[in-house]
Amino acid sequence: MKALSFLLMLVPLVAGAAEVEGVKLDDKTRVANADLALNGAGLRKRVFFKVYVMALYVAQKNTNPAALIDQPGPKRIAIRMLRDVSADAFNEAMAEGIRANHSEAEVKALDPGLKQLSAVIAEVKDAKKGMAIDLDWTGAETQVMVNGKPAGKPIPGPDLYRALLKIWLGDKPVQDDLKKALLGS
Amino acid sequence: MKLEDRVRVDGQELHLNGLALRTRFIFKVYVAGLYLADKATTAQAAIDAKGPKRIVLVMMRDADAEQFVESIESGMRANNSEAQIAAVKTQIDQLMAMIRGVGQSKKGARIVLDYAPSDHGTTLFVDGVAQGRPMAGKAFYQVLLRIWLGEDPVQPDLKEALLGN
Repeated sequence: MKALSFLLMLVPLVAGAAEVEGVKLDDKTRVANADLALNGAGLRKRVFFKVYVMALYVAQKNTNPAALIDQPGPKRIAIRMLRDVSADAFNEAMAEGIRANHSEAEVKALDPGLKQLSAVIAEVKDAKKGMAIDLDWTGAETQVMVNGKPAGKPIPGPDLYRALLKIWLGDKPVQDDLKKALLGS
Repeated sequence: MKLEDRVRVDGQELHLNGLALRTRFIFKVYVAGLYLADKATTAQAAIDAKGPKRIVLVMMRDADAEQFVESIESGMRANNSEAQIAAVKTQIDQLMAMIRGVGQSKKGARIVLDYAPSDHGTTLFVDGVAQGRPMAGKAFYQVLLRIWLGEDPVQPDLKEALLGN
């Protein structure tokens, strides 16, 4: 081990960086005039339990996710908060759910709508315990409802709503058993 | 929690297709990096390593000072004996006061904890700016390191990642 680290020290210094979750950390740094090497890097996560209860409403019940996503006409994703979640955390979770179920090009195309939606949620600020958040598809637009009242302007175009549905019903849903439950199966 | 079987959206009646509980919600808090002079793959080797050390935390979300203080305190208590904590009580109070002085840590902020033997202590940097005077002694830095590398680390997979495993 000692011999190995000695050998590694002889390797010429190459400027580089480790990347974790898009954050770059230099491979080397100096502290108190000593060269230090990055020993390891990782992501600190925090898990919250029992976050929300959610329900999916459609005109015609269906157990097939693709059929549900393609079903024309109004829909409602109803979310009832079981704990406080900041707008930031909410938007982050939503963006991650969308990234997991779409290609990079698709995510890019969704960006304008997503930005509008994130702005609406940022205006709502914290999703408080007990709060009712509905994501409604009117047949033409996505409307966020908070405690039964419209929040922000409706967002046009069906692509955004389809993408939202895929967060929970896509190939990589945020939670498998939640997907099954939303399909009523 | 009760949810209606039917609702109206845009004048149309909709039926409840399914109902579910979101049980887990994972937040990214920070990316952590550990710098050492010599590679360490075990916690003991990293904690006992001689010479300067650096812990870097890059915030992935806003965190207020109280959240930080609480998580550091509980991490220290979970991984250090009462005697180990009592021995560095002054330094802990110093660090907590600094964190409270900094206030909220914004997304993107770089929080660095350096141990420099030449200063005989630990310095907290926020975005490259040193906060206050160094906190004395190697033992204090070891108490801090155990938050991440101790027997009951804040997150086991993060401990392994910091050890390059």
